Amino acid sequence: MKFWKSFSRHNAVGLLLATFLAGFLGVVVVNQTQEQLLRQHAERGAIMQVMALADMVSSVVKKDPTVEPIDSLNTILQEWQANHFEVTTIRVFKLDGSRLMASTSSDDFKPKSLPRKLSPDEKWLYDLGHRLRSAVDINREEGIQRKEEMELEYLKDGLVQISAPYKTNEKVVGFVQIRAYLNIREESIGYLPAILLASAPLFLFIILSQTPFFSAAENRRAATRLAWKPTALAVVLLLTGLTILNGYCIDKYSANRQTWERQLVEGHHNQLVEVANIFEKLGLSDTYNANRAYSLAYLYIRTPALDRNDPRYSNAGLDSKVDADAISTVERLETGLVRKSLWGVFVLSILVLGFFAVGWAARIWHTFNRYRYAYFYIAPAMISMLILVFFPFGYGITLSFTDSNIFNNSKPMLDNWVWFKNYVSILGHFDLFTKTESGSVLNYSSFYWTLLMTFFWTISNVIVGVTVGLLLALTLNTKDLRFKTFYRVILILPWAIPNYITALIWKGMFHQQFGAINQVIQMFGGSPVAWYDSTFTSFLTNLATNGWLSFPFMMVISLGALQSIDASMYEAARVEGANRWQQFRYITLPSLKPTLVPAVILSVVWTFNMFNVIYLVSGGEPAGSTEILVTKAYKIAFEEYRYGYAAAYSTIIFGILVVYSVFQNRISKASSGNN
Amino acid sequence: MNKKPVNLAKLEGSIPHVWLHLFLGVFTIIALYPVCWVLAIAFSGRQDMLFSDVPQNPNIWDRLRAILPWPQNLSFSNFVDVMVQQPFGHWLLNSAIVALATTLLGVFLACTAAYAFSRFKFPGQHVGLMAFLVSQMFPGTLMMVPLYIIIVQWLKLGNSYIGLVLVYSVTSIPFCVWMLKGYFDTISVEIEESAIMDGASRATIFFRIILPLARPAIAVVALFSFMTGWNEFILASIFMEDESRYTAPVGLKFFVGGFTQQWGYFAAGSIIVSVPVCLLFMYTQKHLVSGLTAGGVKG
Repeated sequence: MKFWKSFSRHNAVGLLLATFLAGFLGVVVVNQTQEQLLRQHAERGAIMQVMALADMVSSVVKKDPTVEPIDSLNTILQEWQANHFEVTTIRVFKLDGSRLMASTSSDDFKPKSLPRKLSPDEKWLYDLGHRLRSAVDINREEGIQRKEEMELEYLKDGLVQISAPYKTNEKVVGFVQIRAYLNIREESIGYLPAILLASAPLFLFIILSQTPFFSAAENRRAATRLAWKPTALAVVLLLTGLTILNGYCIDKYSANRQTWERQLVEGHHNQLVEVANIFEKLGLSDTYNANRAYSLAYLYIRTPALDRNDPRYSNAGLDSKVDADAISTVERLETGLVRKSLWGVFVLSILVLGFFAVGWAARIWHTFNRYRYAYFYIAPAMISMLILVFFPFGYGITLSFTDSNIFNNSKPMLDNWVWFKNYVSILGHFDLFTKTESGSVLNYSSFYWTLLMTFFWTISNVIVGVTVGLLLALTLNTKDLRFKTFYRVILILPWAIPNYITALIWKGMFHQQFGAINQVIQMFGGSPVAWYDSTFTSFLTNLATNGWLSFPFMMVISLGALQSIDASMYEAARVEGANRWQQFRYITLPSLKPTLVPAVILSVVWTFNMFNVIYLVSGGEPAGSTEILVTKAYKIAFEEYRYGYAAAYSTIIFGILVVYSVFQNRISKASSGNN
Repeated sequence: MNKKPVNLAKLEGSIPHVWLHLFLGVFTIIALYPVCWVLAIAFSGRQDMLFSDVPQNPNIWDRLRAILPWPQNLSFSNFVDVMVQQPFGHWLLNSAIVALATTLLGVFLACTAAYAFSRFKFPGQHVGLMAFLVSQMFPGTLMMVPLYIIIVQWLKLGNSYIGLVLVYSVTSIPFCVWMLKGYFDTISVEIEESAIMDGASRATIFFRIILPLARPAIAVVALFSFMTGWNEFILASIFMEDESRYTAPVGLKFFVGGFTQQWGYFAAGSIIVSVPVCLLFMYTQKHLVSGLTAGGVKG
């Protein structure tokens, strides 16, 4: 019996964790979805009100377009506000002449009483009205609902502000705006039923695993052979339990949804009655059309570009009946996501159980326990790196598969998933030249141009840096040279200054009018160069700055290496009759190589990623032609706000660096092998 | 065998030193000019880039005077104004706070991790070290947007010192861990073993024995972390949106970016920011470079 203990224990612990995880997560998923849904419903309720008001105002205004029907408007507003306590303000605007015609808020009566013209600091209202008008016009022209014909904005204190246009003869002549409190109901599935349901498998397992069928074994070997029995039991119980649990969650959710949808439709119906009453009061009953579809408005604002055949449309326009079929269709569509998440939780739980059952969990626990000191010391750094380096890296790569930008960033990532579209778009743009009227022009926004530029940049910088640094080091290495220390200290200065300051200084010196460089050129009779107007000169400014920054590093490294070369080697070579060039080639260079090669490698990576200089000195001028890969990625992310595209760009940069380091690793292994 | 005393200098057929000095002199001027340029603007009391007014038809001497880094009137007004009138003093304070906090946090994180890597053998050790190394290659632009989302939106630490300090410390971890691990490796294990036999706990060994012994390496690591926090520009400009929270680099860019070009304030601010950095750098570059060349020369 005791041989079973460990297997049973693994399974039991795994089952425990799996079921509780499933129960908890399942409830969380459903509650979150419900919360979203309830918020949507509350918004719909508010939007229905605005639509009704806009409708009424439109009827009233249509009656006599030349007169401002202030009394009727005020009647509408008072009646409505009296019936709806959650609405704090209702206002009616007219676009012609930017006039505020009626309002239920006393603040609007200053400076003048209504109706009045909008004051200059109410320009945002004027802009809003025109945005609404243009949205309606665009939608009408294009024939689809591309733009939102209504604006919903959340203000402080939980107020929502909704503005909707009203029309006369299909033309937008003004808009209605309300501010209301959204009373979002709090309805959540309790955790208790779910947890009870989830614990059932566990109890069953504990009981059943004590029975002889699952626990009889003569010795350890038999126990191991028969270990699949309790595991199988646990898995079966888990599967059953989770299926029941999922079913329970989904049923609860569906039932709730049906109820709320029905309540919304009832509210819609009540609203229609209200509108009818108000029309009667105003004496406009003859213009009242009973077939209003105010809940359609919800779809306009939340899902532009809706297909008319989308079943969600059929849900709207329910004047007085609840169309159960339509609701079920919609509900099936929307619970799809809930189901997916729940099945995801299901799979996760099974994996958790498996993890424990196979004994991995126990093994990991033992390892952890044994080396716990090491893990404690590593923990702070490792956890920080995980959260702030590795997780963002993974997140960034995931972002690269979406087309996330500043407009759709708040939507869940899965909505924006585009697989490899970004990569194809970046790497597939072979068109380096675009044809314009004046012939072929280089396309500076092409990835390959920027790649080319980055290569030029890196190679020329390394050449300049190494050449200058090596020459200076050789010079400084001369015996008996006076003022050596002085030179050395001064020549290190460029490296010591923070590189963004250097970049800004050189940018100033290359200023076309007042910069020192152009003054020197003019001193010698030349004409001032417009440094940032042509690609080549712009590149030169960057090269000069980075060259200035980086030669000290090379110089110091070379100097250090030179100083460790044994002077007697030179002596021997002299005696053999070698001239200076041969000495340089056969003694100096090989001795420098072990030091120079890592320095060059480091320098290549630093230069490849040198953001500050390019960004601050040339800024990519002219027209993005001197951008390198990293500055282009930055601009895409933070100036064009295309986060997904920028992430793909950056991943490609990373790929290039990885390929380079693998390649360079092989080369240095090969060359050190030769040595 | 030739027994004549050999004059190495003559044998080397060396270039007369005159030319060498000329060569070095040219580069000294090139290296020094921008520095003097900045110093001169800072002390000129004005906001423009030229040191004298260039008349309508300037001749060569007018232009020379204009670019010679000696201001027409020596004045401290730029320094005073930039600290008092402009919020640069405040920005400097922000930079100092961020840099110091980065140093403390960075050193703590790096020391603990490096000690573990050096002294203990545990599963995942090699992977961990490689992971640190590989993370240096992650492009900054790939991480910037996610970091922004994590720090500003999820943790709500935008515009705060803590957010920036966390990011800076983590950036400096890999290099610091490598340096410290290398140094810890050179501390002999016997010291610890005898301490253990005397009954000291791991924590005591770490704090009382190892850390004091590793002081030189810790000093270098601290300086590196400090400079990371002090000199960093891009992340600061992304995370700190309030003008009052700018750090010095962002502030300096602010002076000469866009349409207003206040070179005087920029120059004065640069001097104030750079002097500590330059001095610290001059001190530490010996150690940084020796770390890089040591492996090379031996290999």
